Amino acid sequence: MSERNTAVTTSTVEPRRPARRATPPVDVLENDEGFLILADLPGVSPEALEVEYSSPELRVRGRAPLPEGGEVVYERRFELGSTLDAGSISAELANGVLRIAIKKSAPLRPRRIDVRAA
Amino acid sequence: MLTHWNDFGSLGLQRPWSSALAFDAFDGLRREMERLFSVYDRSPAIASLTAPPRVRWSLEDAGEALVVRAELPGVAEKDLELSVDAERITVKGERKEELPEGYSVRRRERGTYSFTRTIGLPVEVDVEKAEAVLEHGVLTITLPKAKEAQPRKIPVRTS
Repeated sequence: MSERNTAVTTSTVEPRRPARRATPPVDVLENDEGFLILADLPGVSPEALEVEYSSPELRVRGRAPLPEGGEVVYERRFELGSTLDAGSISAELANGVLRIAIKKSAPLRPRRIDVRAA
Repeated sequence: MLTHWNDFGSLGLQRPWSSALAFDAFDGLRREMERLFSVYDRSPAIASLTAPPRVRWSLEDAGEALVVRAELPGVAEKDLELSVDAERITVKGERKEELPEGYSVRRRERGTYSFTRTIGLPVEVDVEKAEAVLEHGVLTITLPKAKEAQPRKIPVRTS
């Protein structure tokens, strides 16, 4: 007899729903003044997002609810070089995308030297 | 120290950032990438980062309604198009390039994409009452079931 004949099935064990971990994809952009990091964090609200800097590490951690219950924890770490100005770090979350801006330390930015005519 | 981190980001960034003025910033990044891929080539986490970006979908039966959900970070409302009939829903969308002027790319994992996705619905829905919300980069479409498809309570008789 096949068990497939059973029209009603059930389980005595509810599925477990541990938090899933995920590494969000990022873009890193650079210009003369500094760096811009973009990270995809779909479903993460500003309240569920942490951006922390503890020299030399920048850590991004965000939680988002999953449709099937439970949640996903996005986490990504970056090591910042000493040539960057950690005090300048700013972050903004919009449309599920986190934007982190980091300036380079002032003495290291390219600078135009005016040439005076004698 | 860092060599044991399985986090792609920290490793790749380390060199170009700590020598932000060096001439070989690109070479450094490429060397890191090559090294990482040779070591972690079969790691699922890395595979998912190097695969072309894809949209994650879900369809859930919430009793009185069906709920379709799609993760669309960075997709603007104006770049989304939805159409729904009683049996299927079609979502078209596009994520556009995001490169502010004057910036050059040091690492690219997010990418751009466009998609058209049609999802057949398991029960008939009431098209007039369909609702869509785009919040925190997640599109949620709520499709109330047609009257005939609504769940109904079974009265319990006592004897």
